[in-house]
Amino acid sequence: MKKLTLVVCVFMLTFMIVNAQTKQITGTVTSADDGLGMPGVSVVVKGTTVGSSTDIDGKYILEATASDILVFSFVGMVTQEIPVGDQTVIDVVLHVEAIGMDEVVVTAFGIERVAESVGYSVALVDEEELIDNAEPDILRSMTGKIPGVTIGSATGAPGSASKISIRGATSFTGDNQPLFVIDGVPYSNDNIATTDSDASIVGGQFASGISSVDPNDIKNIQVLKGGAASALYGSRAANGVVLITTKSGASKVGGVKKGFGVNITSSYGFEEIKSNLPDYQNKYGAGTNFEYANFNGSWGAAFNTRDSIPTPDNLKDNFPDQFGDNIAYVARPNNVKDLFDTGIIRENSINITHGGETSTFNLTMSEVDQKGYIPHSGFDRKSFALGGTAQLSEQLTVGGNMSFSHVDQDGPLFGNNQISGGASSFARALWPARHWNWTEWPYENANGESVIPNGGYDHPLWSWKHNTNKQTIDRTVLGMNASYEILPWLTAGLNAGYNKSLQEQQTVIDIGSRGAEGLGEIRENTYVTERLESTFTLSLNKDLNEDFNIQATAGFNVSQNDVSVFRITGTEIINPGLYNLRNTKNQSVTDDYTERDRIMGLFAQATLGYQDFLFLTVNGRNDWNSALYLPEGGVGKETTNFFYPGATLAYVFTNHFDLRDTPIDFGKLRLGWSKVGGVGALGPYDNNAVFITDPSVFGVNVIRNSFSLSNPVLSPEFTKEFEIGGEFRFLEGRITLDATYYDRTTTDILVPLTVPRSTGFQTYFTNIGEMTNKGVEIGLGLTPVRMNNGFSWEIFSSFTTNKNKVTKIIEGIDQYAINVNEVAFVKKGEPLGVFVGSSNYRDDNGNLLIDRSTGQLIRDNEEKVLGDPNIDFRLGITNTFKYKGLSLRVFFDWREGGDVFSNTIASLLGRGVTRDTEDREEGNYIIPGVYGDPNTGEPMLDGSGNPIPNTTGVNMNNLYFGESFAINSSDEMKIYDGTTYRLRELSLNYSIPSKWLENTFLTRASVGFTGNNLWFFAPNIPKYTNFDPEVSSFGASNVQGIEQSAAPNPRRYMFNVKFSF
Amino acid sequence: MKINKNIIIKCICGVLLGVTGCNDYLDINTDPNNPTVAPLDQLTSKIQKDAADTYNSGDFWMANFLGVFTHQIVVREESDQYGLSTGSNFISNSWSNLYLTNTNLNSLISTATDQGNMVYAGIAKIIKVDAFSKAVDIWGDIPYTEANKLRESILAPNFDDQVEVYTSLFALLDEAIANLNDETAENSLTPGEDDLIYGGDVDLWIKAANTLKLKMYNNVRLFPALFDATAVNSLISGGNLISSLDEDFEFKYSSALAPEDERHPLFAAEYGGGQITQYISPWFYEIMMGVNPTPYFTTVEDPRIPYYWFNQLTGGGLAQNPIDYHDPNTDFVSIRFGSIGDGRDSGQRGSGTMVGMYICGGRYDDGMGSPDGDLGSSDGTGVAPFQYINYYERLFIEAELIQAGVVTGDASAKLREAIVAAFAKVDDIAENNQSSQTIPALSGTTEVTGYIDDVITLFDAATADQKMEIIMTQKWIASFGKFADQYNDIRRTGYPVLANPNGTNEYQIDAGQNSDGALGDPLLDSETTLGRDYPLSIYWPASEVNTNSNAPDQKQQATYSIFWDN
Repeated sequence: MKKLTLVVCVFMLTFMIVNAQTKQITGTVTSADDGLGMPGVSVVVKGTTVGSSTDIDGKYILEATASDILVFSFVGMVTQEIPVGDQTVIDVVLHVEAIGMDEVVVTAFGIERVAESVGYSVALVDEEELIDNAEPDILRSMTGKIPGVTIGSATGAPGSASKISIRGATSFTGDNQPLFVIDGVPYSNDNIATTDSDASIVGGQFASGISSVDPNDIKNIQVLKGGAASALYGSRAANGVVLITTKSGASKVGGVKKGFGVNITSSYGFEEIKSNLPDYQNKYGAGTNFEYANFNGSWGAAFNTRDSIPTPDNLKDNFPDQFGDNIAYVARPNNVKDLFDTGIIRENSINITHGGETSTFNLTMSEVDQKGYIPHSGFDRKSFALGGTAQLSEQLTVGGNMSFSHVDQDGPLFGNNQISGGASSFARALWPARHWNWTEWPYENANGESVIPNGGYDHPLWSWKHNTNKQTIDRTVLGMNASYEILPWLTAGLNAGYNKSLQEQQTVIDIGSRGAEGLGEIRENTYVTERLESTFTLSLNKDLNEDFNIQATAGFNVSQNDVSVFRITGTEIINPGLYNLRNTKNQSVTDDYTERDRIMGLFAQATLGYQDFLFLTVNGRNDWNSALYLPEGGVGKETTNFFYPGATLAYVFTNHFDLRDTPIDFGKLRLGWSKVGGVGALGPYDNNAVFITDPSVFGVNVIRNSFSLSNPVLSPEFTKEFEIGGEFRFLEGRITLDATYYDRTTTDILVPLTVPRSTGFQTYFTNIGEMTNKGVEIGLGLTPVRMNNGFSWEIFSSFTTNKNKVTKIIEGIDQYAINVNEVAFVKKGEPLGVFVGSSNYRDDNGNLLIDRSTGQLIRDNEEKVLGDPNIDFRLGITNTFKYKGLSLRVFFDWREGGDVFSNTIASLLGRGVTRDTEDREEGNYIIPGVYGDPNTGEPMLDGSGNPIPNTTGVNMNNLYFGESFAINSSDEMKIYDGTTYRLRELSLNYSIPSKWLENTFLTRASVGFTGNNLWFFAPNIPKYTNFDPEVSSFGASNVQGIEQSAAPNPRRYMFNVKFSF
Repeated sequence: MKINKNIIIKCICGVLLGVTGCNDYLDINTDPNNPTVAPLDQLTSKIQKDAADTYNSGDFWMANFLGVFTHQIVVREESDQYGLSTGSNFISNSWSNLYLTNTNLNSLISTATDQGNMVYAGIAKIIKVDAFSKAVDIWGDIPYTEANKLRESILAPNFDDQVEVYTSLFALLDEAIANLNDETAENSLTPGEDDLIYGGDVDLWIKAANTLKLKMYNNVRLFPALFDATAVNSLISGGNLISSLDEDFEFKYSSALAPEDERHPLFAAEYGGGQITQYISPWFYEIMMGVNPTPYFTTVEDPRIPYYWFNQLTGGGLAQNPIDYHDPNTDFVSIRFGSIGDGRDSGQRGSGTMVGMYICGGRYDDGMGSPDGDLGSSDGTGVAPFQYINYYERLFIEAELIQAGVVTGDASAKLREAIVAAFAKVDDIAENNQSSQTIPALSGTTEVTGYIDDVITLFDAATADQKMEIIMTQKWIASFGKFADQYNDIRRTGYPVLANPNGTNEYQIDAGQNSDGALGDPLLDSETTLGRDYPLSIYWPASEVNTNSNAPDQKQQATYSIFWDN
């Protein structure tokens, strides 16, 4: 493109008219990005054809008069107009345009469209942003940057799963993740665990499928948010589509720099947790009511009241030579901090490209090696991708790519420690008694067993070493594409791909743990997914007459998805230190199945353009889905194929009216309506009525009904969406605005409905309910300062708000729990995931009722709505300062609302370890409230019928350890507002000026620093707990805002070096 | 239009997929992994294994707190002081197991009936009657006629009136007996070793059914509309009841850990878990020790103590942490019901008294203390039955019926028979325990005979009301672990007398261990408290009430009573 412009400009130059009043103007045009000279920039005297273009160093020379205005323009950059005046040297810095007017966007199935004609919001994340961030997980690096897109992650183990949600949820309990399409082939982001990854007995935080994608190989990520954008992808696209184009998989010749290039990126960073830990009190040790006892809770004697305590039996018995009868009774201020390491991240990548006249080639190799801040945890990914494209003839272009990545993840055990067999490594990690000298006292006895001062959990250091969750993912992707230009306006295309992932997991509970009765247990899980996808398209692009243009694509898409699962559990480890199933006494296969489903779709889309300002697009797709077929011998009604249409209108009013003299540069209004059909959470065989063979007991075989039943009459679910929005650019791009309002309704949602157990089943697959999402997405770009010396300050803010509401479930059921162990519910009239749980009795005036005999709250016998984890809004503000080669980016994130249910806060308060409960001088606290009858929940009244104010006191120990607040309280008292202000990212990059590199083999070089999660403030969280509302136990799940002793979020500092030659 | 579309599709399919049609390509939705028919034998074994859990103790099941309500167990958790949350997993797990098992029961009954295999159908119905009669006893109104009808699209089953459920259960039980006696049935398949309870012995199933009926009649004896004295008399005179230890209706757990954990769930929880959750109630302890001053408890130590629980401490050693109730003379370590004392919340994994051999296949207390560190799962076997109905229980029921004047007979002689049978049951469980310990037999020892004589002497001298108290107290002791049955007995008869944390001089053994760890703190009456009334029934699980829009509003446990409750 640059070359073409150059040719044109040189051509025009020869016709330049020289006239007497002119003077010679010279100057250099540089890029704001790297401060380097830009060749091929067009410099024209406004209103004439007189002009020039810059040479290879960005220099230009032309003649103009003092009253002329020079127009500097270049594709993809903001055009600048500068009055000549009395200047003779005019240097200009050009800035990248936010939304290019003539930019081509790639839409569904690789269909290229002029951005102007697209009737929906397009969100693009480019390469730079992904790599600069130095976040191994591409989903996390997108957090807060794209309006309408929300990303949540489980925390703790490096690489643990993330959840992305676009414009809210469309399914109650099914997968609400978008479809990931990488180079035309869908990618599974399944999050598989050896057991439930959350609150069950043994929990791990495993990486999900997308973690095997290498950000270094990504060219760009495009998010198709609404149905209007994604509908062509069919059934699986109701939640939006994340289109990832890799460097290796780019299907076009071009887009790669001509010639041979090598890019090397190297990053090194570390993670530290210490500043995000709670502020501990160091006045009181373990016990109750100011007296020492060998307890978990630090409610005992003050440290200055006694010098020593009896050595806990466990220590004395296991290490008789290291402990006497007594040990010093002193606070250990660092007993939590010292448990953790400094995490280290290393990342290296090399990218080799070659661009020729008729071919391109790309090779990317990279390795990420992350050592977590939790000892023995880590994430390592090696990836290799290669691809190329060749134009074999004028008509035929073919391409192919392959990639392989291998992920190793090591993480600790999480989960619920309160069930017998539970063995969370975080059971006490963050709330040890304040005098426990955890890191210096020995914690492993001669038999290799965990030793703790008291009982009931595993020592965290022991647990991290012995109880492990390991996972490997091998991902292989193969793709090919071909396009053939049948006629200049008619092209046929074929894209086919194969994507296989092999996930192998192993969970070990070692001998001597609290879990598995101390006998040891090994669980292994093999999960294989294979996708085959093929799409054939026929595209035409034809001017019908002077005014009308038609661009249309029709296609046929087939995909097949196979899953196979094999799980085996070995109990009782025989010889210590060997962690394979052969070294266990008993093995049992707990799962062994294969699944296959197929989807076929016929689709078409046509855009009719009128002149260059009005574009109408209509699209439709018909799907056939194997999961809707009845099984052999099944009775019911089959609705196996379904059709859904959509239409959008784009009106570029700046092309319609001449608004050149107004501040508005560009303006487009968009309107869209779409419908997307799908099968929701319905998977293969879900509508089969089967019996389940369970492992044999007492030497006999056993069988049972499946816990789930399906309605034999199933139909697809549909999401209808209306969106309206616009894109505007003012003042030469100094202000850009992209705003969208959407209103989507999902009907006949296909989910396994949790039914009352009195129905005899746990779940019932049927079409139920209705849910709406209404939201606003705003992307606002401002450039307050843009100076000719190259300094600029740009602000980009991304605003997202979504109101979700469950409007209908099904006759007979108005609410049900998403996860039976948690307070997250689907409830009619409420947002998805609303907290419903136990609360306390209140009188009609809202006063809490108090039990006269204990002074504590009285538990209500009805469960009530207690909170809403859905965030009110999220505002991400990125400030970018650039000066020549230097750029500073500061990303600030404001999350408003979104309740969190936190076990960590409850435990920190209940165990009395933080400074929140430090001032506990002897005395009683009277909970504000009135007396009530614990048997009836009614207020007690005095002789004249008035409520009796509470005067029964409780000491602080019982206040937080009793039934009222914190650890043993009702659910109500464990919920906090999650509003958070956060400095999420700060990065500083410096591109070394090219003249310094002149005598080297390098063409470009840059160094950078990035800090992640550097500061946060959550005003409604108990201050000294330092709890980060973003900490979550649930990664890729619909349960949000719930935290069960999860690991805290670290801060991360990364340094990187990039160079090209 | 539609035809055209189909033609187009077929053409495209033909071109792109070769000769096979689209339908063949897409019609692949038959599950290759799971069977669509369930053999009767496999279903029966599964049902028997699952049904035993519903009203059992352990980490998941509701007897975990029923034992607290019958004052044989004390816990630190919410069910102390009769506190229970509506969201309690113990309640919802048992409820869930009841109805999920009923789905299998219904499959078994309907398939067996269709095939003419009526023995299977009869067994299934007996298990069903037992399960649902207990459900009514615990919850009152429950879904029954509309339950397990999801296939008929009933998503929110109505709750039936408790009396009506009981009425239909009596009818179902008669049906079960008729099925078992059905000589015209084809019975091409009959249970054998898949019947984990009676090994396919039809006669024993009939005896079990008759005894279950007797038990249910006894339970409703104060509700005239359902009680049938004639039926009761003919059951007793019919002689077709469980008549010896060998005929006990019970589910026997084993010591196997794999492929499934087949141990008694209470054993797995307490011996395999990281903390003691089920402490032996000091009230129960003092009664067994013969020191409780309530009239008509015995004054001698019960010889069953070492079979019932295990003291980890020996020789008067101190508990690892301050403790609420510690008798240094016996090394018994526990917590009082309703305690607010400082030692209540201490962990005592290594020094607390644990449930023993009789109740869950734990360790017989030979007085030697824990063999190696904290008592763990290798120190016992987990082999003990879940007792549906035992011979001794039948005898206690008869004694109660005689004492209540419903049937004629010698209550004293019947009580003696019952206690003798109860001791024999302890021996039976010990014999089958598969323990490496040498566990001495009780029956016939002078200690045991002396104890029984004592009880009978006391009984013979007592007033009518006191006689009932003695019968019920003895039944309560004998049926340690059968908490669901005891809970019925206590509500029906008011016996045994339960600990009253607000009373005075509740406990006789000054058994405290103060916060310094030293012994000898006096037990203070003021250290126990109780604000709630006795629960007359149990909350319906919050999960059911939340989800089922036809469920009634949640009850108050202290006021919602069961129809047969006196």
